[in-house]
Amino acid sequence: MKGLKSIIIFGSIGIILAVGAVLGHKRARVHVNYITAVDDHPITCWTCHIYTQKDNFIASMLNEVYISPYNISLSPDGEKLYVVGQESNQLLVVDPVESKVLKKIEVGNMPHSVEVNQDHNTAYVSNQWADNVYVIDLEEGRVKDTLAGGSGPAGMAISPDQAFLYVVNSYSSDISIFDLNSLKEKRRLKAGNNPVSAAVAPDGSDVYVSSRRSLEVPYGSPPVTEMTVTHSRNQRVSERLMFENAYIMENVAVTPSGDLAISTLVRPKNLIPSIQVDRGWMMTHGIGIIERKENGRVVQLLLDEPNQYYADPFDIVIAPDGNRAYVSHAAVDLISVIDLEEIRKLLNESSEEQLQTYANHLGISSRYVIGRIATGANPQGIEISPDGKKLYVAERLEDRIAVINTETLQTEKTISLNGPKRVTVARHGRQLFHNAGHTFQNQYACYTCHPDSHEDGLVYNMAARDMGRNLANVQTLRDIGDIPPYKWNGKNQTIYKQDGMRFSMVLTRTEAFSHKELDALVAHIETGIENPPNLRYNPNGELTAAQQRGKEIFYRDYDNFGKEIPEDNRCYTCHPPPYFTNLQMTDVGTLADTDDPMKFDVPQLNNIYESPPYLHDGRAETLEELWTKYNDEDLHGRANDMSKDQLNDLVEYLKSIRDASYYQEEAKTYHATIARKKREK
Amino acid sequence: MIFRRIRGLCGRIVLAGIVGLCCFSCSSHSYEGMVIAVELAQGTGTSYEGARLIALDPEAPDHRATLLTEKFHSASSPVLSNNGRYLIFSGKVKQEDPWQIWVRDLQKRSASRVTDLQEDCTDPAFLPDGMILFSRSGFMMNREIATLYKCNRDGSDLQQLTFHPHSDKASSVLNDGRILYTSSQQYPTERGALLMVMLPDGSKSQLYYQGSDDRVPASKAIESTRGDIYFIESITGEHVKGKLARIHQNRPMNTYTDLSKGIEGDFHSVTLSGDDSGVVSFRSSAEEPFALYWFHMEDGTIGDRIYGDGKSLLDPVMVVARPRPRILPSAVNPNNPTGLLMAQNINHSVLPANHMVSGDSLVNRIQVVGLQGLMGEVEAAEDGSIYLKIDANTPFQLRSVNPQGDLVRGPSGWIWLRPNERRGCVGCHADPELAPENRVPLAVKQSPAVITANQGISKLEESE
Repeated sequence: MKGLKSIIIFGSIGIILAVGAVLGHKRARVHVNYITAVDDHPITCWTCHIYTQKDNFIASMLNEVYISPYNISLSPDGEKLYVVGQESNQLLVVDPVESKVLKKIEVGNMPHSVEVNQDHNTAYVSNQWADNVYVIDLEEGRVKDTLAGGSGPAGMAISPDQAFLYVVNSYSSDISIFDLNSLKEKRRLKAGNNPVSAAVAPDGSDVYVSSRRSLEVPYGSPPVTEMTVTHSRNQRVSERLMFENAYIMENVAVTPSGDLAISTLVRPKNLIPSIQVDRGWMMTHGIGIIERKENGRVVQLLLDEPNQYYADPFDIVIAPDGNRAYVSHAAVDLISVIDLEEIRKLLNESSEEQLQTYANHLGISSRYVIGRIATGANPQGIEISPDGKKLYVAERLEDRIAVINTETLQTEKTISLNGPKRVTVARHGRQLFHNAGHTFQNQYACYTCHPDSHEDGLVYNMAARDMGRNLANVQTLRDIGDIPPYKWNGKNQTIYKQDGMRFSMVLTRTEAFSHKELDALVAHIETGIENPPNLRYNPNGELTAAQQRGKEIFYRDYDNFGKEIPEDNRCYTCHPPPYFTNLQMTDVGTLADTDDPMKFDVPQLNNIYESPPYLHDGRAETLEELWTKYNDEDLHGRANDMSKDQLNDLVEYLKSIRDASYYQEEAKTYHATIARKKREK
Repeated sequence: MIFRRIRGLCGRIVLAGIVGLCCFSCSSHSYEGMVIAVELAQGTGTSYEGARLIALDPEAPDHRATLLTEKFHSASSPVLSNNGRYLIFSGKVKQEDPWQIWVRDLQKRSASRVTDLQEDCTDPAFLPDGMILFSRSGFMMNREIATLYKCNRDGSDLQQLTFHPHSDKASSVLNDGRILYTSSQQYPTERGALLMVMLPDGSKSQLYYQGSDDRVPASKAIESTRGDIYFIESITGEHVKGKLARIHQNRPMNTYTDLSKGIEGDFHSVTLSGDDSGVVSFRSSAEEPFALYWFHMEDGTIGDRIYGDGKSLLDPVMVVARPRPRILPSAVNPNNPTGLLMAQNINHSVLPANHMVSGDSLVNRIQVVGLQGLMGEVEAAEDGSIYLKIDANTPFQLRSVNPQGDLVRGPSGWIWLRPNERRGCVGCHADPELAPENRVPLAVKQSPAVITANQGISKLEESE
């Protein structure tokens, strides 16, 4: 009897468990299908629920802090290599002969570049997310001073007489000139939009500053990116050279003879309906050349080939004899070797019209590209030894430096920077994010349209249905894990869907990511992309008087006439903290004739100041224009009652909005207030 | 007695096991590293009638070749799957049968039929997604043509991929996932073969490589992992009929190398055994049968003879696993019966204007010409761009016309769009190595001009 009871009890438990397992599996299947938008993604709970953890114990166990070498600099004698560890916030001193890391010096938040002086006793490290430059005593290996200039210091250059340091401020879009004797900022000059690198001509006459983002251009016009030329004698801008149809000019170099200044660049095709990828229909990659002579021309030449693209050209160095240039292609793990003599011949024999054609010619590169050297993942900064025999390459997503023999064009060895040995899932995702291998013929990586995981400031003709329709303003990828849905039309409920099968059909046009790759990519996007600190408009969390007034407008319930603003028409209703989005679809009266009928996903407002242009099709150049030009009916919030000063205050407040983590408490207060208001009603 | 019976039973079981194991090992014979080729029935001809597929060991050429198509009257065009396990070929069981596509698992003995059609089906290839591509003979405008199709391994889901009056043959798959094939126009005039490329759904078909009037691609082209593409060219007017050529995938139009330079003889077909070496079907004079030789791809020199027993050996394939090409997504949607075509500037062309033109050489419209004549005319926008919607799977040519009505350029080669295909061009016969200018083509600011095979004239689509 007792035995029978046990059988019944355990049998029942077994049946319940079995039924539970079957039902649980079914539920899990439905859930995974919803998340991934396919029906064959493996039911592996940890890929979504563990790998995407951000700030907790599990995350700290799973993830690693890598070094991620970014830019590098060589000592004047070529015996030491200085490496910026972008992720580890370090300056690494490396002996390239012995392949040893000699020292790691802690530097500021998100260091960008390093420059070493001629005496080889001081290094300057720009800390892009700390708004300062560290002056480092190389003998003692310590920070001895800090230079404060503009916002987002990035590329730097020291004048040949060692008297001045030019620091390019990527966020405030200007150039700080520091006197290296007094360590004071002597002058600040306006640069292009999002400038990133600087190079001084060997005779010290000019400083070239390249930019990433296009200047403001009339809506629907091709991008135009500025190369700012500063005359070093009077330290004034002497020229603003325009590169039409180009952007993301990451780095610039000047030949030893000074005849050419050459920058890397990308030529996007954002205005053409994105109906195909082949034949350079989406992105092409190349160099911009400035002839440094009277009536010198500004020329663009491609490094791509008709069926092979060399995405994300990053750094450029020129051999000491001036005959070759080397360009790192961050998205295809290659270095292009360029014969500069052939470039000079081409320039000499070509008319202006021919050069215009060459700017789009995918075959011309075979005339001057004489080699392609394979590297490890995501090659960034490169340096050449004083004798021109060795090329050093920062392989960012391998945590190592490659040493290439420039005669054989082979990698001689790699130098480990002693980063974590384990490749985490998120790190693998980051490698995929930065690699163009998942686009047809390697034409672009995720990073290409999302530089620094942000957005490139362009509006693309996505041609969802017919050509010429559905213009889409590229959106940031920073800290988007918790704010579904995705795409302006909100059709993608998860990042899995956003980057899944349809992504390959309409965007990358090659084989879709495997399940494992998609897991890794999602883990990277959900965990690895932070917003930079808003040091420019809200450095310490204290709002200025204007920002405070703007905040009151943002949270107002009554307009200037004392009339209650309908709930749906208040700023905070659609844009509540901490992300300043209610994750809903809405109509703010901006549907264009060229749009398919739809509502738009309410965008987040964290760091909104750095995301112009605005609205789904990028028609608003500035935040002001949202209300001064595109809100006639007050559908995008009650705003037509406001005075100009009030609007200015509101814009000031919006620009002050920082990363979501800062608004956790404010979000609680907000929700409590909303609940209270509802109760009171 | 019982013990003896048990012993006898055990013995029989063991024997059966040994026999079974032997049979299994025979049936799962490994062909890895071997060469499979077509052995012709005749000595020096190139007719596949009566031909058979054999496998031979290139390292031991004296060993007897293994016959792979015992039950077939004729077999040809052997191709291996990327994992090296499955062999597809064109074969016929009886002499009077049409050629059909067959597949054989090399670990088993029997072959199964893929296609069961009335017409000859030849030149098969494996697509990366496992479907099988082949060439099917037929007629268009009373001309004999060959059209590319694909289907599943059991013959189901048969889909036509090319839609023009051409003879499309010798298809293979590039590493980037596209189909490469030889294509020669049959109507209205016959033209020499070109290498064309398209997506595996038949969309985005375009010129890949063009030889010259006397030198045309004549074999399946194969790509190495480094992007070198090898094929045989047919030469007219010379005593040597076949040359071995190489182009590079990165820039196919401008990387041609004649690998048979300095080699006296006639190449028929080529396969790769690695990036630097291959096997060619070659003969040093027209009087000899084709035999198999090693070939050094890098320096273009012919190596040792592998095999040749008096009968011609053609179409070698090495039994090795190769990386699978990319599986490309398809935008073809059978529910949309039309495709869209946009050209940025119809005045952008590398072709000279028709010398008979009396008026402007600048054109302002294009005419769309179908198999039955003029289908419609489309005005170019101010910037020279055109945008049209046309019935899918319908061959058409374009020709450009100036304001005086003179035909300035064209007609172009035959074009077709797949259902829901959207295709863009820089111009009409523009330099194929030219990327588009980054500007909004004015034509796409309007609805597309609609061209239908039935209507015969263009009209603007009503705005929605």
